[in-house]
Amino acid sequence: MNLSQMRQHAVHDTVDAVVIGTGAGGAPLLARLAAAGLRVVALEAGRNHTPETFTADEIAANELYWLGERLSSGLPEAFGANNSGIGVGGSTLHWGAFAPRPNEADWRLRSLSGMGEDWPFAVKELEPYFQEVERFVGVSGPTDYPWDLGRHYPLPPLPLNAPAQLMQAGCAALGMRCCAAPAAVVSRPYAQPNTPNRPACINCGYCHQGCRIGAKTSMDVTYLPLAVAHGAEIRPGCFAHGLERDGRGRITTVVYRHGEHDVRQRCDAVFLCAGAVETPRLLLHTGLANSSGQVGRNYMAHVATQVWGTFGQETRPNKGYPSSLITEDMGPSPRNFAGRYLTQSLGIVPVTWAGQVTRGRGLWGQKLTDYLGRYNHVAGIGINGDCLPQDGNRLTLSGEVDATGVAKPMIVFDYGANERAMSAHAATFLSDLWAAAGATDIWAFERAAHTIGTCRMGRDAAQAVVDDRGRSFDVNNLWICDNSVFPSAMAANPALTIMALSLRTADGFLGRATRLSV
Amino acid sequence: MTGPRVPQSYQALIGSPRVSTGTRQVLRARAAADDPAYCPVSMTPSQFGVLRAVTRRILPQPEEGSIDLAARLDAQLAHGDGDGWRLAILPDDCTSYAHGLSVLDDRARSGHGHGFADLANDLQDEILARAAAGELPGEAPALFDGAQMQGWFADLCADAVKLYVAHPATLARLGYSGIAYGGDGPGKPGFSLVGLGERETWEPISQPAPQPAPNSP
Repeated sequence: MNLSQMRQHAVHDTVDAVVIGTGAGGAPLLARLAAAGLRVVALEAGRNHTPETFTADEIAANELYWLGERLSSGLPEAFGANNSGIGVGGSTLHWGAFAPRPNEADWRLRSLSGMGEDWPFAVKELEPYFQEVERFVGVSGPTDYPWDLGRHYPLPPLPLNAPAQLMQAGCAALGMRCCAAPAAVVSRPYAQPNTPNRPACINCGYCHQGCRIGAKTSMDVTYLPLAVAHGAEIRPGCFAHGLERDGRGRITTVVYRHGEHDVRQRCDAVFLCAGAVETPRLLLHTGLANSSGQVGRNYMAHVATQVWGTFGQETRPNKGYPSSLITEDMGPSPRNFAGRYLTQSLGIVPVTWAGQVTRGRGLWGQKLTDYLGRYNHVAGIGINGDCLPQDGNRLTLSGEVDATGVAKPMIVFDYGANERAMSAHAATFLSDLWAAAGATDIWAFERAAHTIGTCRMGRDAAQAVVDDRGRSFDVNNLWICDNSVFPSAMAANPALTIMALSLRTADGFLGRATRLSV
Repeated sequence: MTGPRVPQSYQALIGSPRVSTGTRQVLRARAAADDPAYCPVSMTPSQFGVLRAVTRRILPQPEEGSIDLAARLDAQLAHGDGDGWRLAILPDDCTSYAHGLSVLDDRARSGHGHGFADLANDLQDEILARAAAGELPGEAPALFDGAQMQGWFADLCADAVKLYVAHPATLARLGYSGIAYGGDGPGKPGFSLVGLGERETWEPISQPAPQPAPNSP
């Protein structure tokens, strides 16, 4: 994005706030704080990309993924391309832009099921923020959303690609409702004040490799240009690794590595928005904000089981917005688990698909090369399902230090009985749905997605890292906003909720009342 | 090895204005033939010999014109190109490859009296199937236990298949159109026919799979 005209601050100036991370957590609040007249500096570990130079090549897209090594124990969860981004815009550079909202059942899981956790404020409070985000970033979707009748999307739906049409047929056969997915991808040319004009999506299918034209919402075409227009400074190539405090325990300075040098930026407040791995990693590394002992605990990943099948007609699954159909119905069988899952159709590009085939199906040899040759005839469907927090699922610092001088994170994560039951339920439902749509050679791929939890939000300082606005209980000028604060994983993909939380956290910092109209 | 031939029609697609300059550069560089005299950097020649044999079994290709997956894997390891994570039970990638390949070779020698690379295809496959199932190295103390061998073998397959599929010759075989959604500058065409059974006239058609040559032991 264009940073040539942005306001710049000297490192010895005490700015009002330093924001660490420029993804879905950091960017909206950066814009909000800048618009309120605050002097704000955002630190981004990665570089500032030029989207036009992104290629139609999955290997070259590695430049968008956080490749600092993480150690995975228990159920293997892939990081990097699976869920972790780097560069101005963070993981929104390669997110799938699937933008459902959570609902009351997700939000009050403990009250309603006796399992998991409730959020410490009402989901109703987020509704105006969801609407604001959806309008600003441009979410395309159905005119009427079957599971939330008052909800309307600002842009018409994206075209249904072959996997979506097949899922639509399967849903019809099984009597499940479905509709065009809410997608943070503009289906018409779109313009908002202080952001670049964005052309309509061209159905290239490369959302996960970076959108070259800016049709897909990423922070570098939405909230970050807005922030810069309001006077925010964004510093690429700056990896924060230290937080210095005064005698009262307030953070006075953020220390970051820029090239070969350590730089100190003085500030009055810090917003830590580095995601559910790097945020707790920095807190554990600095020893801050952890009187509860909760930093790193309750790591969660969505149950993201997929089912793939082969069809007689060509699907060409690279074409079109990859996840263009959704159902929030969960099949006809009784549910033996707490929480919900959402189902989406899946297009995919071939290198990613081939990697899933080897890992998930265990194919090698002639069977593998034969199956890969069916690429133009395959299509998938997959879920995004809730995951219960468990104390033993936890991020800690390993004994290995990487090039940054900070210990590599170790993530211990395993499914519990609830996740196993949900995954099995979904595999049956999706396989039945795919059979009804005419698929042959159906197989299920068990996988976990997203990084959630590790700095949970709550009402009790002994049980949580931040309060319901995202402010640290221990360090009163430290705020956290990203997926780490989620007390529960919820069925909805996290980025839309993170953006809404980000605006709410900014309003909390600015002392504004929650903008709830009821 | 001469490297696989990218069909003329796919080369023409790569050269067309529908493909961006950056994408074209990446694809052409990747299509360049491998060095037949390639020397391994991240592992010993003996381990490299095992890796060559293993990659031939994981992704069988015609003897004439195959991608030297072993050389590309070694170069990747030597360059330190990771994917952002690893199983906590495994050491760093280079050590994992060295250990995993050595366990396969040791197993071949103890079970059959020959190195892995010198075994017949079916014996090689039998050893790999046991690695995939977590049944290697067996009872004898070894560099890796069964779970480590299983984890490493899964990583190896995933690493190798990415290199294989990303090669333009494979993309051509798949009939893959995604590289050509739009070239340089504004007004990229993208796709307008995205539904079931819909193919735009310029999109490549899927090629039948080439038959791999018999691999003599």
